[in-house]
Amino acid sequence: MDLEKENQLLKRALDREKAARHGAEVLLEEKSRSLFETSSKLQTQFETLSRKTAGLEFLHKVAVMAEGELQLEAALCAFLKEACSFCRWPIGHVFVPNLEGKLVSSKAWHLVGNNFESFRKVTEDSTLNPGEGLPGRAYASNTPVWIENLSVDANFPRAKLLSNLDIRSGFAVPVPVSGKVGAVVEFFTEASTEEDRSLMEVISTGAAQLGMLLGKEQTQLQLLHSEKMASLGEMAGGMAHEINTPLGAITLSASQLKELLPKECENKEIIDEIVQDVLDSAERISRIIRGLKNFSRDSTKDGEFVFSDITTILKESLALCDIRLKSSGVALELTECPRGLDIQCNPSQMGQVIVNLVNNARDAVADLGEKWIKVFLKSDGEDVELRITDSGKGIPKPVRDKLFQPFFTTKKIGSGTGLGLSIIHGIVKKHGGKIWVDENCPNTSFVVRIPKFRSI
Amino acid sequence: MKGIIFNVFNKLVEEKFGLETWDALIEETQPASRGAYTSAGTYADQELFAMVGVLSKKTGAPATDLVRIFGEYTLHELAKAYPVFFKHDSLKSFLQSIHGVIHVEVRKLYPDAGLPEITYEDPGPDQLVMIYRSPRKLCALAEGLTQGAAAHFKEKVSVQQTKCLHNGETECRLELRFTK
Repeated sequence: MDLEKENQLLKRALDREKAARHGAEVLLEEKSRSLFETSSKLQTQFETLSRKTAGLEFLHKVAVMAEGELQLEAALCAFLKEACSFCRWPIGHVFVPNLEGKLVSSKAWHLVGNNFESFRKVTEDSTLNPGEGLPGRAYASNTPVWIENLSVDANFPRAKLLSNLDIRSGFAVPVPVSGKVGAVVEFFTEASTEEDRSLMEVISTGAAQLGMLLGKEQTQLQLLHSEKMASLGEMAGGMAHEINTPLGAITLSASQLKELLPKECENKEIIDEIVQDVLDSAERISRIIRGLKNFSRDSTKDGEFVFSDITTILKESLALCDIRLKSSGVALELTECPRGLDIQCNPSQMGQVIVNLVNNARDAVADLGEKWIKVFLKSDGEDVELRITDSGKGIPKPVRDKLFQPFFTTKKIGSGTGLGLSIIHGIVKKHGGKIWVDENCPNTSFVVRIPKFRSI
Repeated sequence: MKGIIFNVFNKLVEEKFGLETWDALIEETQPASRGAYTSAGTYADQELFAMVGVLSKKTGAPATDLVRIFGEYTLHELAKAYPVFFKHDSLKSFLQSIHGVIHVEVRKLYPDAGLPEITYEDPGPDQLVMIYRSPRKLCALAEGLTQGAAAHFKEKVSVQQTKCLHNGETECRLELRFTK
């Protein structure tokens, strides 16, 4: 082969090699790009999957919690902790509606770090109308609400109350309890975060489970309370019957003794006084027993309304509280009470209202230097007004806002269920009446107003 | 067909017949790829068949024999490139892994690879029947590959083809008998 031919042959071979290399590079580039795209896709899918797994784990934990025996506040805190851990957000908190339909802060928080104390304080002092602020909007619309930039949002009042807002974004989710919004959970983070619908969906699902737990808890406690009341009533009824028979004998014997006593005899005055004491005490016992019977009478007929003398119900109920008041050194005064005032009511439940309010007043003043309770009852047009005032110095507004909410209590753990005032509120409402705390009174004063006749 | 097969064919032709012959095959067949083959690329089967046809004319050797030799050579090259697939105790075990293991792995790397379908019959310890089905009808290549594998495993195998796609049948039946 001559040199020229060989050169041409080698040149063609080289050209083919170059073309092959170019082809290989194009292929490599395509493969690299496709590999990168696949890897990016895989990463996104992995992240989505991780998020979904975390969401499922969160929901599983909430479901387990809902099946457990947690107390209400512990359950709320546990929910917030799990939700914050799922969102990777540092703040979780619960707002609850009060009986006026406004949102007030609960004690349930989850806070990571100590940087949010001023925010916490401002939050706890907040009372929000429906539609007001982040939780107010979730409450009014019954849908989750997200605010990406809290400091510039026109409807986030807490931002205006703080000189330096440490948080940037937040969202709130309503908690459905028995068909209503029973609470609103809210979450905050320091990082500006775009709305994440899937995150809110998971939290909403968890909130629905939490709502079932809250509904269950509320029903169970109310059931427990009514069972306690029923068994107490049964016991009181039995005791009243047992005591009444010998009491009748005592009264009869003392009356006979009084009649049989000669007009002139030694120590007649002293004997008269003793016999009268026996008769008075027997009458007092009889009144207490009537009160007990009233209290217990119709635990099985809770819905029954009859015409009853409210003054008698009041006196008999106060007689029930008398011994406890005396032993606590609390002076009780019935300052105003008309003679005979028939109203259409459920006597047992009205007795429950009076006893509960007086007992609460007693607990409130037990540790004070000045201890007294004054009770007023008056007829006012078509209503009767009962006022129970104690020597306490009133109730601060934040507490007043939550007073009639189920489970709210300022008493020590184990001393109260936080249900007493909520049940009283229910009874008064059933009677078509109102109960409130008189803000203008320098002392603590509860006012109950009930119509004399039930509207048909 | 994957570029690696063309690269092996190129290497074989250059080794046995020189660069001039390879250049002549390209020049005479004028393939669409212009003979610039990359192992990961995919090229028309016809390019290979046309080159085998020209080579057969140039050498006077039947195309079937050339393909069989190409198969033996290819196996040798594949064993160097992919030793992991050759970790078997015997030729029979290796051949039995072709469809269920090697082809599966090839498909993962090259989803567009046009692989033949191979099924097996196992009449006894020193026998194996491989049934080959492919529109390419490259049973001669399969036989060459089998012989190449026998050399790799230092075994001997006799191949008797009792059915062939080239005879209008639906499959090629390669009956193998192994001797150590």
